[in-house]
Amino acid sequence: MGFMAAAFVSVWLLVALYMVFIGLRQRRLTQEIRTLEELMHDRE
Amino acid sequence: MSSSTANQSLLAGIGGWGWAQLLLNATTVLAMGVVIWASLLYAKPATNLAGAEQFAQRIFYIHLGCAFAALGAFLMSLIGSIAYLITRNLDWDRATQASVEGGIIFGAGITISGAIWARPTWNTYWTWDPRLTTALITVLIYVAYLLFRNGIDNREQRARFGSIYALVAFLTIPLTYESARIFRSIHPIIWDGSNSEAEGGFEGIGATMGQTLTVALIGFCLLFSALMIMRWQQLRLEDQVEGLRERLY
Repeated sequence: MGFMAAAFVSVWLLVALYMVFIGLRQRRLTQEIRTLEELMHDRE
Repeated sequence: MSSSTANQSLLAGIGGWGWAQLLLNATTVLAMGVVIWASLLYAKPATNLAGAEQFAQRIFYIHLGCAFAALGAFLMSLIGSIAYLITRNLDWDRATQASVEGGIIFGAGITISGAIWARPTWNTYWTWDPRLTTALITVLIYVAYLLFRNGIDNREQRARFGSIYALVAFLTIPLTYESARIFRSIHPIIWDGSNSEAEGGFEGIGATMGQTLTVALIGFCLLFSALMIMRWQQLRLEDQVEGLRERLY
């Protein structure tokens, strides 16, 4: 039972970590887009 | 259209989430729920196994699901790299990178779930069996793809190098698949042949086992597709933001 649980948790943990990685990058990109938007606004 | 209006419409348009993607993500979450339920509860246990080995046999569904998703991912990276080299469209390079990342995740999933399954079955977490070794080498070769390509600054050069690398790296996939057939291996063979020296196999896949396996293969392929599309969009966004930054500064 322990081995089965460990394997299931490990696989979905890997997927979850990858999703967190994507999420963090997305957040950084959103912030960068906001900065660029402000810069464009200032130039107009 | 003025330059600033074009930039604003670009910012408004990029990073959007379509209904199709929302549907795919919802289907994937549902499918993963069904995979967990079917693997743990619905599938009947292997009759020729007992105790810890019988429980561990249920790892088979996610182990093979990961294998199928990884195969799909690396196949997609092959298609993406060939398409990039023909068309020089960077979207194909992004698809290759997103697929390789997915392939590495599921490749690591195969390795980890296999190692955990091996403990009650082979009495060890790891052995330098041809199948295990070639699978590990495959994952490491694709990890190197990401490391090498990230070291190249020129976008076109990076895409060209990545495509050629991914094309050559794909040779490890048939080698991994055939390794348990060509070399002496204790890893069981599920399709297309048998391995007389295999240890830890289980007898006859029954109806519930077959249905669970089908659901797992579809579920994991959906999961790869959802992750790959999400990452592909993000890589596209990164390139667009990079281009915009260069124009503004």
